[in-house]
Amino acid sequence: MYFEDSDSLEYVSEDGPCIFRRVDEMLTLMISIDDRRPIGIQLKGFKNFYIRRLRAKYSLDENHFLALTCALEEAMNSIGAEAFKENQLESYTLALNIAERDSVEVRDFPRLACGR
Amino acid sequence: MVIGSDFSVLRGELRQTKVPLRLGPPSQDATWQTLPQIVPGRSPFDKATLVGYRLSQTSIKKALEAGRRQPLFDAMSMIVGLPPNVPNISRWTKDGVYRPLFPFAKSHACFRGLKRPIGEDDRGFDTFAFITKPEWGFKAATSMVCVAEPYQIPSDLVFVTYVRLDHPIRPLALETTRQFREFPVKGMVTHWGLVECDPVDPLLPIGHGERYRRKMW
Repeated sequence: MYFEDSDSLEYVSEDGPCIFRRVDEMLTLMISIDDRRPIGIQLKGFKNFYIRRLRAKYSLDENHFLALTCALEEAMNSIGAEAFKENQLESYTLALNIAERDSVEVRDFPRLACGR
Repeated sequence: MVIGSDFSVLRGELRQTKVPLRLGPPSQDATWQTLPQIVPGRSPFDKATLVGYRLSQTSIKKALEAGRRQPLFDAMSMIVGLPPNVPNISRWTKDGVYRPLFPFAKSHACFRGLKRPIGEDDRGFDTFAFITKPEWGFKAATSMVCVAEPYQIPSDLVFVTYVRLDHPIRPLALETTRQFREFPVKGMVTHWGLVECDPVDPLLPIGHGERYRRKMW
């Protein structure tokens, strides 16, 4: 789901209290409060990222959908492999595993009322 | 025990009883989903000054439509400072079992600037983060008695409430709601959540130096 007020794309597999563990300026992992295992992903600043990187590359419009793994991979490409710190790469790998395991698709994109 | 003539009298009474039959979908009581439009908070520029912030309902409604109730429960218990308005919540709030909640208005720290784009703000400069350290929250419960239950928040967490100030900052604009008439409304609460605390200072979020541009107070 895309939340316009926070400009973030979120996926979480459970409805319950969770902790937001910041990885970097783009990615936050959502962690279960009980056993501290990752249960969700938050991609921040998504509107800007969608306009600059995703929309053109995947020819997207509001009727399309996109595998969340593609969005995460594009986020990793935008940072660049050489810039990754160890725990940062590990977190992105965790996020990719969650997105792949649950077959998460992005069907909710920022409204581009001012961008069209 | 009903016997003999008493039973026939009872049967007669039952025959006369009229049970109203209502057709159509059940009435949607959305009271428990209703949050205050405005919540009190502290000014980011002066800790001692109380102001009002509009509380974003959009994210909560969207989450509810997707079956997620936790954002609503978090907002109610840790921003407004009240238990969720669900049936039988008095089970947890009556005398003897009351657990104090910590509202957003009792923030003890404030930071400015998220160091990331947020919407039209390329640098996140106009977003402020207010920090509280609540001890209790509410979460969804699979119970026939009450659909919410309190839970104790681990001591290694703090609660962050993010506010986007109105731009430009409006002159003193008194809201008409009776409760907050005296508070000028300065911005909007956009999102919130629990984060791990700093190991050196457990009242602040971990990595606050990297997360935020500047500490206001």
